[in-house]
Amino acid sequence: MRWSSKLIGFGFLFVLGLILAFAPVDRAGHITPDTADLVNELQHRNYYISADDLAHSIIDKESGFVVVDVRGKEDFEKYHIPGSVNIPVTELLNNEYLREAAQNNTIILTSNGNTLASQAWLLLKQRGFKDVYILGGGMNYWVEAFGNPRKPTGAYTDDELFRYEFRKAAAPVMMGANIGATGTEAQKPKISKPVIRVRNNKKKQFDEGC
Amino acid sequence: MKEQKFWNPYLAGVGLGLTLLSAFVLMGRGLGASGALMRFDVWLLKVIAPGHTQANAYFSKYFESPLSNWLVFEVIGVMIGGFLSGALAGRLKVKTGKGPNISVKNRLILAFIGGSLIGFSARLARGCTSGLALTGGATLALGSWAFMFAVFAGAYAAAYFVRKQWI
Amino acid sequence: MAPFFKFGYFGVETGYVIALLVGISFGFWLERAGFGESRKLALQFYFEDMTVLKVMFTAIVTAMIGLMYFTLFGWIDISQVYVNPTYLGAQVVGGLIFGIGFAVGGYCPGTSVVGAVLGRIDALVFLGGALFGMFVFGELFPLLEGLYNSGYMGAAKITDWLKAPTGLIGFLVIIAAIAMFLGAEWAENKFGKEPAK
Repeated sequence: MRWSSKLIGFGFLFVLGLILAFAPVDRAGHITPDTADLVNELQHRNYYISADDLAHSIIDKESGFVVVDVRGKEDFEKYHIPGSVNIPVTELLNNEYLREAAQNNTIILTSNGNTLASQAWLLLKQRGFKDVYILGGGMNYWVEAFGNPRKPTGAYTDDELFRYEFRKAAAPVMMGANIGATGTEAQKPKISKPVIRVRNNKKKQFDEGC
Repeated sequence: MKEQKFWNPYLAGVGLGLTLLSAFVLMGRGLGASGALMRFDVWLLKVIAPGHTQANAYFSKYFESPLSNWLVFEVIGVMIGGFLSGALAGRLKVKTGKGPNISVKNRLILAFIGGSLIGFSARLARGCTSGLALTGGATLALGSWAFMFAVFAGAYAAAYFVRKQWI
Repeated sequence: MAPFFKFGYFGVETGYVIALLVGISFGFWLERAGFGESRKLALQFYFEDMTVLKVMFTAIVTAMIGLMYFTLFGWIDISQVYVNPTYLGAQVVGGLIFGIGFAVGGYCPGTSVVGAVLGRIDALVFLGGALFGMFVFGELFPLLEGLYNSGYMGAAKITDWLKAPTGLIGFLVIIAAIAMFLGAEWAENKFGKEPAK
Protein backbone atom coordinates (compact mmCIF):
# COMPACT_ATOMS: atom_id res chain seq x y z
CA MET A 1 0.00 0.00 0.00
CA ARG A 2 1.34 3.40 -0.92
CA TRP A 3 1.68 6.31 1.46
CA SER A 4 -1.11 8.30 -0.10
CA SER A 5 -3.79 5.72 0.65
CA LYS A 6 -2.50 5.33 4.22
CA LEU A 7 -2.70 9.08 4.73
CA ILE A 8 -6.26 9.14 3.40
CA GLY A 9 -7.13 6.42 5.93
CA PHE A 10 -5.49 8.28 8.82
CA GLY A 11 -7.20 11.50 7.77
CA PHE A 12 -10.59 9.79 7.73
CA LEU A 13 -9.89 8.39 11.20
CA PHE A 14 -8.97 11.86 12.42
CA VAL A 15 -12.22 13.36 11.12
CA LEU A 16 -14.28 10.61 12.78
CA GLY A 17 -12.48 11.35 16.04
CA LEU A 18 -12.91 15.09 15.71
CA ILE A 19 -16.68 14.65 15.35
CA LEU A 20 -16.70 12.44 18.46
CA ALA A 21 -14.81 15.05 20.47
CA PHE A 22 -17.70 17.48 20.05
CA ALA A 23 -20.54 14.95 20.03
CA PRO A 24 -22.69 14.43 23.13
CA VAL A 25 -21.84 10.73 23.48
CA ASP A 26 -22.43 10.69 27.25
CA ARG A 27 -25.80 12.39 27.02
CA ALA A 28 -26.85 9.94 24.29
CA GLY A 29 -25.83 7.10 26.60
CA HIS A 30 -28.36 8.17 29.21
CA ILE A 31 -31.49 7.84 27.13
CA THR A 32 -34.06 5.54 28.63
CA PRO A 33 -34.52 2.21 26.92
CA ASP A 34 -37.35 1.98 24.42
CA THR A 35 -40.64 0.83 25.89
CA ALA A 36 -41.07 -1.58 23.00
CA ASP A 37 -37.69 -3.12 23.78
CA LEU A 38 -38.57 -3.46 27.44
CA VAL A 39 -41.88 -5.13 26.69
CA ASN A 40 -39.99 -7.50 24.45
CA GLU A 41 -37.49 -8.16 27.21
CA LEU A 42 -40.25 -8.85 29.73
CA GLN A 43 -41.92 -11.30 27.36
CA HIS A 44 -38.86 -13.24 26.34
CA ARG A 45 -36.66 -13.34 29.34
CA ASN A 46 -37.68 -14.85 32.61
CA TYR A 47 -38.19 -12.02 35.04
CA TYR A 48 -40.51 -13.97 37.31
CA ILE A 49 -39.47 -15.48 40.60
CA SER A 50 -41.56 -18.35 41.90
CA ALA A 51 -43.29 -18.14 45.27
CA ASP A 52 -41.46 -21.22 46.52
CA ASP A 53 -38.05 -19.82 45.60
CA LEU A 54 -38.82 -16.60 47.40
CA ALA A 55 -40.11 -18.46 50.48
CA HIS A 56 -36.90 -20.51 50.56
CA SER A 57 -34.84 -17.35 50.39
CA ILE A 58 -36.82 -15.78 53.22
CA ILE A 59 -36.52 -18.86 55.43
CA ASP A 60 -32.80 -19.16 54.74
CA LYS A 61 -32.49 -15.47 55.65
CA GLU A 62 -30.61 -14.78 52.44
CA SER A 63 -29.52 -11.23 51.86
CA GLY A 64 -29.31 -9.26 48.66
CA PHE A 65 -32.98 -8.82 47.81
CA VAL A 66 -35.84 -6.54 48.82
CA VAL A 67 -39.48 -7.48 48.30
CA VAL A 68 -41.46 -4.40 47.29
CA ASP A 69 -45.25 -4.63 47.57
CA VAL A 70 -46.75 -2.16 45.08
CA ARG A 71 -50.39 -2.53 46.18
CA GLY A 72 -52.29 0.10 48.10
CA LYS A 73 -51.93 0.57 51.86
CA GLU A 74 -55.19 -1.21 52.79
CA ASP A 75 -54.31 -4.32 50.84
CA PHE A 76 -50.86 -4.39 52.34
CA GLU A 77 -52.22 -4.14 55.84
CA LYS A 78 -54.52 -7.11 55.28
CA TYR A 79 -51.62 -9.38 54.60
CA HIS A 80 -48.15 -9.16 53.17
CA ILE A 81 -44.98 -11.17 52.70
CA PRO A 82 -42.84 -11.05 55.85
CA GLY A 83 -40.09 -8.49 55.47
CA SER A 84 -41.66 -6.83 52.44
CA VAL A 85 -41.83 -3.08 52.02
CA ASN A 86 -45.00 -1.29 50.94
CA ILE A 87 -44.43 1.27 48.20
CA PRO A 88 -47.67 1.83 46.24
CA VAL A 89 -47.07 2.03 42.52
CA THR A 90 -47.99 5.72 42.46
CA GLU A 91 -45.17 6.54 44.84
CA LEU A 92 -42.63 4.23 43.26
CA LEU A 93 -40.60 6.79 41.38
CA ASN A 94 -40.15 9.30 44.18
CA ASN A 95 -39.08 6.78 46.76
CA GLU A 96 -35.65 7.46 48.23
CA TYR A 97 -35.44 4.19 50.09
CA LEU A 98 -36.05 2.18 46.93
CA ARG A 99 -33.35 4.01 45.00
CA GLU A 100 -30.87 3.36 47.78
CA ALA A 101 -31.85 -0.26 48.25
CA ALA A 102 -31.67 -0.97 44.52
CA GLN A 103 -27.99 -0.16 44.41
CA ASN A 104 -27.01 -3.35 46.17
CA ASN A 105 -30.14 -5.48 46.07
CA THR A 106 -32.35 -7.33 43.69
CA ILE A 107 -35.79 -5.74 43.74
CA ILE A 108 -38.67 -8.23 43.72
CA LEU A 109 -42.01 -6.62 42.89
CA THR A 110 -45.32 -8.05 43.99
CA SER A 111 -48.97 -7.06 43.56
CA ASN A 112 -52.21 -8.98 43.75
CA GLY A 113 -51.71 -10.63 40.37
CA ASN A 114 -49.01 -10.02 37.81
CA THR A 115 -50.44 -6.94 36.08
CA LEU A 116 -49.63 -4.15 38.49
CA ALA A 117 -46.20 -5.58 39.27
CA SER A 118 -45.41 -5.83 35.56
CA GLN A 119 -46.36 -2.19 35.09
CA ALA A 120 -44.14 -1.28 38.03
CA TRP A 121 -41.35 -3.34 36.44
CA LEU A 122 -41.61 -1.33 33.22
CA LEU A 123 -41.62 1.94 35.14
CA LEU A 124 -38.51 1.04 37.11
CA LYS A 125 -36.66 -0.35 34.09
CA GLN A 126 -37.36 2.84 32.18
CA ARG A 127 -35.90 4.80 35.02
CA GLY A 128 -32.69 2.82 34.73
CA PHE A 129 -33.16 0.28 37.53
CA LYS A 130 -31.22 -2.80 36.45
CA ASP A 131 -31.96 -5.68 38.78
CA VAL A 132 -35.73 -5.93 39.01
CA TYR A 133 -37.83 -9.10 39.16
CA ILE A 134 -41.49 -9.95 39.65
CA LEU A 135 -43.06 -12.45 42.04
CA GLY A 136 -44.82 -14.85 39.69
CA GLY A 137 -48.56 -14.96 40.38
CA GLY A 138 -48.30 -12.21 42.97
CA MET A 139 -50.10 -12.26 46.31
CA ASN A 140 -53.06 -14.25 44.97
CA TYR A 141 -50.83 -17.20 44.26
CA TRP A 142 -48.88 -16.64 47.45
CA VAL A 143 -52.02 -16.91 49.59
CA GLU A 144 -53.15 -19.95 47.64
CA ALA A 145 -49.79 -21.62 48.12
CA PHE A 146 -49.19 -20.83 51.76
CA GLY A 147 -52.64 -19.93 53.11
CA ASN A 148 -54.08 -23.31 52.34
CA PRO A 149 -51.47 -25.68 50.92
CA ARG A 150 -53.18 -28.43 48.95
CA LYS A 151 -51.97 -31.94 49.28
CA PRO A 152 -51.12 -33.34 45.85
CA THR A 153 -53.62 -35.94 44.75
CA GLY A 154 -53.43 -38.81 42.32
CA ALA A 155 -50.04 -39.88 41.07
CA TYR A 156 -47.77 -37.27 42.55
CA THR A 157 -44.01 -37.11 42.33
CA ASP A 158 -41.55 -36.77 45.19
CA ASP A 159 -41.00 -33.17 44.17
CA GLU A 160 -44.68 -32.36 44.50
CA LEU A 161 -44.85 -33.98 47.89
CA PHE A 162 -41.76 -32.14 49.01
CA ARG A 163 -43.25 -28.85 47.86
CA TYR A 164 -46.44 -29.56 49.76
CA GLU A 165 -44.53 -30.41 52.93
CA PHE A 166 -42.47 -27.29 52.54
CA ARG A 167 -45.50 -25.09 52.00
CA LYS A 168 -47.29 -26.57 54.99
CA ALA A 169 -44.27 -26.04 57.20
CA ALA A 170 -43.64 -22.55 55.89
CA ALA A 171 -47.27 -21.42 55.99
CA PRO A 172 -47.34 -19.99 59.53
CA VAL A 173 -44.30 -17.82 58.82
CA MET A 174 -45.33 -16.79 55.33
CA MET A 175 -48.86 -15.81 56.36
CA GLY A 176 -47.70 -14.45 59.72
CA ALA A 177 -48.74 -10.89 59.04
CA ASN A 178 -52.38 -11.83 58.63
CA ILE A 179 -54.61 -9.45 60.54
CA GLY A 180 -55.88 -10.91 63.78
CA ALA A 181 -53.35 -13.68 63.80
CA THR A 182 -50.83 -11.77 65.81
CA GLY A 183 -52.13 -8.93 67.92
CA THR A 184 -49.23 -6.57 68.20
CA GLU A 185 -47.88 -6.66 64.71
CA ALA A 186 -51.27 -6.45 63.10
CA GLN A 187 -52.17 -3.11 64.69
CA LYS A 188 -49.30 -1.31 63.14
CA PRO A 189 -47.62 -3.17 60.34
CA LYS A 190 -44.02 -2.36 60.83
CA ILE A 191 -41.95 -1.94 57.69
CA SER A 192 -38.89 -3.93 58.48
CA LYS A 193 -36.11 -2.67 56.32
CA PRO A 194 -33.88 -5.50 55.22
CA VAL A 195 -30.22 -4.92 55.78
CA ILE A 196 -28.60 -3.75 52.58
CA ARG A 197 -25.73 -6.03 51.80
CA VAL A 198 -23.78 -6.89 48.72
CA ARG A 199 -25.91 -8.98 46.44
CA ASN A 200 -24.89 -12.46 45.50
CA ASN A 201 -24.70 -12.78 41.75
CA LYS A 202 -26.50 -16.08 41.52
CA LYS A 203 -28.63 -14.99 38.64
CA LYS A 204 -25.72 -14.06 36.41
CA GLN A 205 -25.95 -16.17 33.28
CA PHE A 206 -22.29 -16.72 32.71
CA ASP A 207 -18.97 -15.25 33.50
CA GLU A 208 -18.24 -12.73 30.78
CA GLY A 209 -14.55 -12.18 31.34
CA CYS A 210 -11.78 -13.69 29.31
CA MET B 1 -0.10 -24.25 -3.58
CA LYS B 2 2.08 -21.19 -3.28
CA GLU B 3 1.91 -19.31 0.01
CA GLN B 4 0.07 -16.05 -0.38
CA LYS B 5 1.11 -12.79 1.21
CA PHE B 6 -0.47 -11.69 4.48
CA TRP B 7 -3.11 -9.06 4.12
CA ASN B 8 -2.50 -5.43 4.94
CA PRO B 9 -2.36 -5.04 8.74
CA TYR B 10 -4.77 -2.09 8.75
CA LEU B 11 -7.31 -4.09 6.75
CA ALA B 12 -6.93 -7.06 9.12
CA GLY B 13 -7.29 -4.65 12.04
CA VAL B 14 -10.55 -3.25 10.68
CA GLY B 15 -11.77 -6.83 10.16
CA LEU B 16 -10.91 -7.76 13.74
CA GLY B 17 -12.46 -4.54 15.03
CA LEU B 18 -15.73 -5.21 13.20
CA THR B 19 -15.73 -8.76 14.60
CA LEU B 20 -15.32 -7.35 18.09
CA LEU B 21 -18.02 -4.75 17.44
CA SER B 22 -20.45 -7.43 16.27
CA ALA B 23 -19.82 -9.35 19.50
CA PHE B 24 -20.66 -6.18 21.46
CA VAL B 25 -23.79 -5.49 19.42
CA LEU B 26 -25.10 -9.06 19.43
CA MET B 27 -24.04 -10.32 22.85
CA GLY B 28 -23.06 -7.24 24.85
CA ARG B 29 -19.65 -8.78 25.51
CA GLY B 30 -16.30 -8.99 23.79
CA LEU B 31 -13.94 -11.69 22.59
CA GLY B 32 -11.66 -13.98 24.57
CA ALA B 33 -9.31 -16.90 24.45
CA SER B 34 -7.60 -17.70 27.73
CA GLY B 35 -10.89 -18.24 29.57
CA ALA B 36 -11.70 -21.12 27.25
CA LEU B 37 -8.21 -22.57 27.71
CA MET B 38 -8.71 -22.38 31.48
CA ARG B 39 -11.95 -24.30 31.20
CA PHE B 40 -10.26 -26.92 29.08
CA ASP B 41 -7.40 -27.09 31.59
CA VAL B 42 -9.76 -27.69 34.49
CA TRP B 43 -11.62 -30.31 32.49
CA LEU B 44 -8.31 -32.12 31.86
CA LEU B 45 -7.33 -31.90 35.53
CA LYS B 46 -10.73 -33.22 36.48
CA VAL B 47 -10.08 -36.33 34.41
CA ILE B 48 -6.63 -36.81 35.98
CA ALA B 49 -7.28 -35.88 39.61
CA PRO B 50 -10.96 -35.17 40.30
CA GLY B 51 -10.78 -34.88 44.10
CA HIS B 52 -7.78 -32.61 44.10
CA THR B 53 -9.28 -30.31 41.47
CA GLN B 54 -12.57 -30.00 43.28
CA ALA B 55 -10.84 -29.05 46.52
CA ASN B 56 -8.99 -26.17 44.88
CA ALA B 57 -10.65 -22.80 45.46
CA TYR B 58 -9.65 -21.45 42.06
CA PHE B 59 -10.25 -24.48 39.83
CA SER B 60 -13.66 -25.18 41.32
CA LYS B 61 -14.91 -21.88 39.83
CA TYR B 62 -14.52 -23.48 36.41
CA PHE B 63 -15.94 -26.82 37.46
CA GLU B 64 -18.46 -27.46 34.72
CA SER B 65 -18.63 -29.29 31.45
CA PRO B 66 -16.15 -27.67 29.08
CA LEU B 67 -18.88 -26.99 26.53
CA SER B 68 -21.01 -24.86 28.83
CA ASN B 69 -19.24 -21.60 28.24
CA TRP B 70 -19.67 -19.02 25.49
CA LEU B 71 -15.93 -18.57 25.10
CA VAL B 72 -15.41 -22.26 24.42
CA PHE B 73 -17.67 -22.08 21.37
CA GLU B 74 -15.90 -18.92 20.32
CA VAL B 75 -12.48 -20.56 20.49
CA ILE B 76 -13.74 -23.57 18.52
CA GLY B 77 -14.77 -20.96 15.95
CA VAL B 78 -11.26 -19.47 16.06
CA MET B 79 -9.84 -22.87 15.21
CA ILE B 80 -12.20 -23.26 12.25
CA GLY B 81 -11.63 -19.70 11.02
CA GLY B 82 -7.86 -19.90 11.37
CA PHE B 83 -7.78 -23.25 9.59
CA LEU B 84 -9.97 -22.02 6.71
CA SER B 85 -7.93 -18.89 6.22
CA GLY B 86 -4.66 -20.82 6.36
CA ALA B 87 -5.95 -23.42 3.89
CA LEU B 88 -7.13 -20.74 1.45
CA ALA B 89 -3.73 -19.05 1.58
CA GLY B 90 -1.70 -22.26 1.37
CA ARG B 91 -0.17 -21.80 4.81
CA LEU B 92 -1.02 -25.18 6.34
CA LYS B 93 2.35 -26.72 7.02
CA VAL B 94 3.86 -28.64 9.93
CA LYS B 95 6.91 -26.66 11.01
CA THR B 96 8.42 -24.73 13.88
CA GLY B 97 8.41 -20.96 13.70
CA LYS B 98 11.78 -19.48 14.75
CA GLY B 99 14.66 -17.25 13.76
CA PRO B 100 17.63 -18.66 11.78
CA ASN B 101 20.04 -18.76 14.75
CA ILE B 102 18.35 -21.18 17.13
CA SER B 103 17.84 -24.94 17.11
CA VAL B 104 14.35 -26.41 16.98
CA LYS B 105 14.80 -28.02 20.39
CA ASN B 106 15.78 -24.78 22.11
CA ARG B 107 12.94 -22.94 20.40
CA LEU B 108 10.45 -25.49 21.72
CA ILE B 109 11.86 -25.22 25.24
CA LEU B 110 11.47 -21.44 25.11
CA ALA B 111 7.96 -21.83 23.67
CA PHE B 112 7.00 -23.95 26.67
CA ILE B 113 8.51 -21.48 29.15
CA GLY B 114 6.82 -18.55 27.42
CA GLY B 115 3.53 -20.43 27.36
CA SER B 116 3.76 -21.14 31.08
CA LEU B 117 4.41 -17.47 31.84
CA ILE B 118 1.47 -16.45 29.64
CA GLY B 119 -0.88 -19.02 31.14
CA PHE B 120 0.04 -17.95 34.65
CA SER B 121 -0.20 -14.21 34.01
CA ALA B 122 -3.40 -14.43 31.96
CA ARG B 123 -5.13 -15.93 35.00
CA LEU B 124 -3.57 -13.35 37.32
CA ALA B 125 -4.67 -10.42 35.16
CA ARG B 126 -8.10 -11.99 34.44
CA GLY B 127 -7.60 -12.05 30.69
CA CYS B 128 -5.26 -12.02 27.76
CA THR B 129 -4.64 -9.95 24.66
CA SER B 130 -8.10 -10.69 23.27
CA GLY B 131 -10.30 -10.76 26.35
CA LEU B 132 -8.65 -8.00 28.32
CA ALA B 133 -6.59 -5.81 25.98
CA LEU B 134 -8.77 -5.77 22.83
CA THR B 135 -12.19 -6.00 24.47
CA GLY B 136 -11.45 -3.69 27.35
CA GLY B 137 -9.46 -1.38 25.11
CA ALA B 138 -12.52 -0.71 22.98
CA THR B 139 -14.78 -0.11 26.00
CA LEU B 140 -12.07 2.12 27.55
CA ALA B 141 -11.71 -0.09 30.63
CA LEU B 142 -8.97 1.38 32.83
CA GLY B 143 -7.41 -1.94 33.84
CA SER B 144 -7.25 -3.09 30.23
CA TRP B 145 -5.19 -0.10 29.15
CA ALA B 146 -2.88 -0.53 32.15
CA PHE B 147 -2.49 -4.20 31.18
CA MET B 148 -1.75 -3.32 27.56
CA PHE B 149 1.04 -0.88 28.42
CA ALA B 150 2.47 -3.36 30.94
CA VAL B 151 2.51 -6.08 28.24
CA PHE B 152 4.45 -3.90 25.80
CA ALA B 153 6.81 -2.78 28.59
CA GLY B 154 7.49 -6.37 29.69
CA ALA B 155 7.94 -7.61 26.14
CA TYR B 156 10.35 -4.85 25.06
CA ALA B 157 12.32 -5.33 28.29
CA ALA B 158 12.64 -9.09 27.75
CA ALA B 159 13.20 -8.91 23.98
CA TYR B 160 16.93 -8.21 24.22
CA PHE B 161 17.57 -11.39 26.20
CA VAL B 162 15.88 -13.70 23.72
CA ARG B 163 17.01 -11.93 20.52
CA LYS B 164 18.93 -15.04 19.35
CA GLN B 165 15.59 -16.80 19.09
CA TRP B 166 14.05 -14.45 16.56
CA ILE B 167 16.62 -12.34 14.72
CA MET C 1 -31.99 -2.02 20.59
CA ALA C 2 -28.55 -3.56 20.97
CA PRO C 3 -27.00 -5.52 22.64
CA PHE C 4 -29.60 -7.91 21.29
CA PHE C 5 -28.84 -10.78 23.67
CA LYS C 6 -29.26 -8.59 26.75
CA PHE C 7 -32.65 -7.42 25.54
CA GLY C 8 -33.84 -10.96 25.03
CA TYR C 9 -33.97 -11.09 21.23
CA PHE C 10 -32.57 -14.61 21.41
CA GLY C 11 -31.60 -17.17 24.02
CA VAL C 12 -28.42 -18.75 25.31
CA GLU C 13 -28.39 -21.52 22.68
CA THR C 14 -28.54 -19.04 19.79
CA GLY C 15 -25.80 -17.20 21.63
CA TYR C 16 -23.57 -20.25 21.29
CA VAL C 17 -24.14 -20.32 17.53
CA ILE C 18 -23.20 -16.66 17.40
CA ALA C 19 -20.10 -17.46 19.49
CA LEU C 20 -19.05 -19.97 16.86
CA LEU C 21 -19.60 -17.51 13.99
CA VAL C 22 -17.86 -14.64 15.77
CA GLY C 23 -14.99 -17.02 16.56
CA ILE C 24 -14.66 -18.06 12.92
CA SER C 25 -14.39 -14.42 11.89
CA PHE C 26 -11.91 -13.76 14.72
CA GLY C 27 -9.70 -16.70 13.71
CA PHE C 28 -9.91 -15.78 10.03
CA TRP C 29 -8.70 -12.21 10.57
CA LEU C 30 -5.98 -13.28 13.01
CA GLU C 31 -4.63 -15.69 10.40
CA ARG C 32 -4.95 -13.15 7.55
CA ALA C 33 -2.85 -10.69 9.56
CA GLY C 34 -0.15 -13.34 9.90
CA PHE C 35 -0.68 -13.96 13.62
CA GLY C 36 -0.22 -17.71 13.22
CA GLU C 37 3.52 -17.14 12.87
CA SER C 38 5.41 -16.68 16.11
CA ARG C 39 8.37 -14.97 14.47
CA LYS C 40 6.17 -12.35 12.82
CA LEU C 41 4.57 -11.61 16.20
CA ALA C 42 7.88 -11.49 18.05
CA LEU C 43 9.64 -9.21 15.55
CA GLN C 44 7.29 -6.51 16.87
CA PHE C 45 9.56 -6.30 19.89
CA TYR C 46 12.63 -5.55 17.75
CA PHE C 47 10.84 -2.80 15.76
CA GLU C 48 11.28 -4.87 12.61
CA ASP C 49 7.67 -5.79 11.96
CA MET C 50 5.03 -3.59 13.57
CA THR C 51 2.03 -5.68 12.51
CA VAL C 52 0.97 -6.51 16.08
CA LEU C 53 0.72 -2.87 17.06
CA LYS C 54 -1.00 -1.83 13.84
CA VAL C 55 -3.59 -4.62 13.91
CA MET C 56 -4.30 -4.31 17.62
CA PHE C 57 -4.83 -0.57 17.67
CA THR C 58 -6.76 -0.54 14.40
CA ALA C 59 -9.08 -3.16 15.90
CA ILE C 60 -9.49 -1.28 19.19
CA VAL C 61 -10.11 2.04 17.44
CA THR C 62 -12.58 0.49 14.97
CA ALA C 63 -14.65 -1.18 17.70
CA MET C 64 -14.45 1.90 19.93
CA ILE C 65 -15.61 4.26 17.17
CA GLY C 66 -18.42 1.83 16.36
CA LEU C 67 -19.60 1.70 19.98
CA MET C 68 -19.48 5.49 20.34
CA TYR C 69 -21.36 6.24 17.13
CA PHE C 70 -23.94 3.55 17.86
CA THR C 71 -24.45 5.12 21.28
CA LEU C 72 -24.79 8.51 19.64
CA PHE C 73 -27.45 7.21 17.27
CA GLY C 74 -29.26 5.51 20.15
CA TRP C 75 -28.78 2.05 18.66
CA ILE C 76 -27.00 0.48 21.62
CA ASP C 77 -27.44 0.73 25.37
CA ILE C 78 -23.80 1.09 26.33
CA SER C 79 -24.54 0.40 30.01
CA GLN C 80 -25.46 -3.17 29.01
CA VAL C 81 -22.07 -3.79 27.39
CA TYR C 82 -19.60 -5.67 29.56
CA VAL C 83 -16.67 -3.66 30.90
CA ASN C 84 -13.72 -5.60 32.25
CA PRO C 85 -13.30 -4.96 35.99
CA THR C 86 -10.12 -3.17 36.96
CA TYR C 87 -7.71 -4.79 39.41
CA LEU C 88 -4.82 -2.42 38.86
CA GLY C 89 -2.18 -4.31 40.86
CA ALA C 90 -2.99 -7.72 39.40
CA GLN C 91 -3.27 -6.36 35.87
CA VAL C 92 0.00 -4.39 35.89
CA VAL C 93 2.00 -7.27 37.40
CA GLY C 94 0.17 -9.76 35.20
CA GLY C 95 0.79 -7.59 32.14
CA LEU C 96 4.54 -7.41 32.79
CA ILE C 97 4.82 -11.20 33.13
CA PHE C 98 2.56 -11.60 30.11
CA GLY C 99 4.86 -9.34 28.07
CA ILE C 100 7.92 -11.38 29.05
CA GLY C 101 6.06 -14.55 28.12
CA PHE C 102 5.08 -12.99 24.79
CA ALA C 103 8.69 -12.18 23.88
CA VAL C 104 9.94 -15.59 25.05
CA GLY C 105 7.13 -17.75 23.70
CA GLY C 106 6.24 -15.76 20.60
CA TYR C 107 2.47 -16.17 20.95
CA CYS C 108 -0.44 -15.09 23.08
CA PRO C 109 -3.34 -17.47 23.88
CA GLY C 110 -5.57 -16.57 20.89
CA THR C 111 -2.78 -16.52 18.31
CA SER C 112 -1.31 -19.81 19.57
CA VAL C 113 -4.66 -21.50 18.84
CA VAL C 114 -4.43 -20.21 15.26
CA GLY C 115 -0.78 -21.28 15.01
CA ALA C 116 -1.63 -24.75 16.29
CA VAL C 117 -4.34 -25.40 13.67
CA LEU C 118 -1.93 -24.25 10.94
CA GLY C 119 0.45 -26.99 12.08
CA ARG C 120 3.04 -24.92 13.93
CA ILE C 121 4.74 -27.20 16.45
CA ASP C 122 5.96 -24.32 18.60
CA ALA C 123 2.34 -23.13 18.94
CA LEU C 124 1.27 -26.55 20.21
CA VAL C 125 4.12 -26.64 22.71
CA PHE C 126 3.24 -23.08 23.73
CA LEU C 127 -0.36 -24.15 24.36
CA GLY C 128 0.88 -27.01 26.51
CA GLY C 129 2.93 -24.50 28.45
CA ALA C 130 -0.08 -22.21 28.85
CA LEU C 131 -2.17 -25.04 30.29
CA PHE C 132 0.71 -25.83 32.65
CA GLY C 133 1.00 -22.16 33.68
CA MET C 134 -2.72 -22.01 34.46
CA PHE C 135 -2.39 -25.16 36.52
CA VAL C 136 0.49 -23.60 38.48
CA PHE C 137 -1.60 -20.47 39.06
CA GLY C 138 -4.47 -22.54 40.41
CA GLU C 139 -2.18 -24.48 42.72
CA LEU C 140 -0.57 -21.32 44.06
CA PHE C 141 -3.87 -19.45 44.24
CA PRO C 142 -4.02 -19.32 48.08
CA LEU C 143 -0.66 -17.53 48.06
CA LEU C 144 -1.60 -15.20 45.21
CA GLU C 145 -5.07 -14.24 46.31
CA GLY C 146 -3.92 -10.93 47.78
CA LEU C 147 -2.23 -9.87 44.55
CA TYR C 148 -5.08 -11.28 42.47
CA ASN C 149 -7.54 -8.92 44.17
CA SER C 150 -5.24 -5.92 44.55
CA GLY C 151 -6.18 -2.50 43.26
CA TYR C 152 -9.85 -3.27 42.71
CA MET C 153 -11.71 -0.31 41.20
CA GLY C 154 -14.86 -1.92 39.83
CA ALA C 155 -15.79 -1.57 36.16
CA ALA C 156 -13.79 1.66 35.93
CA LYS C 157 -13.31 3.39 32.59
CA ILE C 158 -10.65 5.84 31.54
CA THR C 159 -13.41 8.41 31.34
CA ASP C 160 -14.22 7.95 35.05
CA TRP C 161 -10.59 8.13 35.99
CA LEU C 162 -9.85 11.32 34.02
CA LYS C 163 -13.36 12.67 34.58
CA ALA C 164 -13.48 13.57 30.90
CA PRO C 165 -16.33 13.15 28.40
CA THR C 166 -16.37 9.90 26.44
CA GLY C 167 -16.19 11.56 23.02
CA LEU C 168 -13.10 13.55 23.96
CA ILE C 169 -11.30 10.45 25.26
CA GLY C 170 -12.27 8.69 22.04
CA PHE C 171 -10.69 11.50 20.04
CA LEU C 172 -7.50 11.33 22.15
CA VAL C 173 -7.28 7.55 21.68
CA ILE C 174 -7.62 8.04 17.91
CA ILE C 175 -4.89 10.71 17.90
CA ALA C 176 -2.62 8.41 19.93
CA ALA C 177 -3.34 5.53 17.53
CA ILE C 178 -2.52 7.65 14.44
CA ALA C 179 0.72 8.78 16.10
CA MET C 180 1.61 5.16 16.83
CA PHE C 181 0.83 4.12 13.25
CA LEU C 182 3.08 6.85 11.85
CA GLY C 183 5.81 5.84 14.32
CA ALA C 184 5.38 2.19 13.29
CA GLU C 185 5.77 3.01 9.60
CA TRP C 186 8.90 5.00 10.39
CA ALA C 187 10.35 2.19 12.54
CA GLU C 188 9.71 -0.44 9.87
CA ASN C 189 11.55 1.67 7.30
CA LYS C 190 14.48 2.15 9.65
CA PHE C 191 14.82 -1.23 11.40
CA GLY C 192 13.03 -3.65 9.07
CA LYS C 193 15.80 -5.71 7.50
CA GLU C 194 13.51 -7.73 5.30
CA PRO C 195 10.24 -6.81 3.66
CA ALA C 196 7.28 -7.96 5.73
CA LYS C 197 6.16 -11.25 4.29
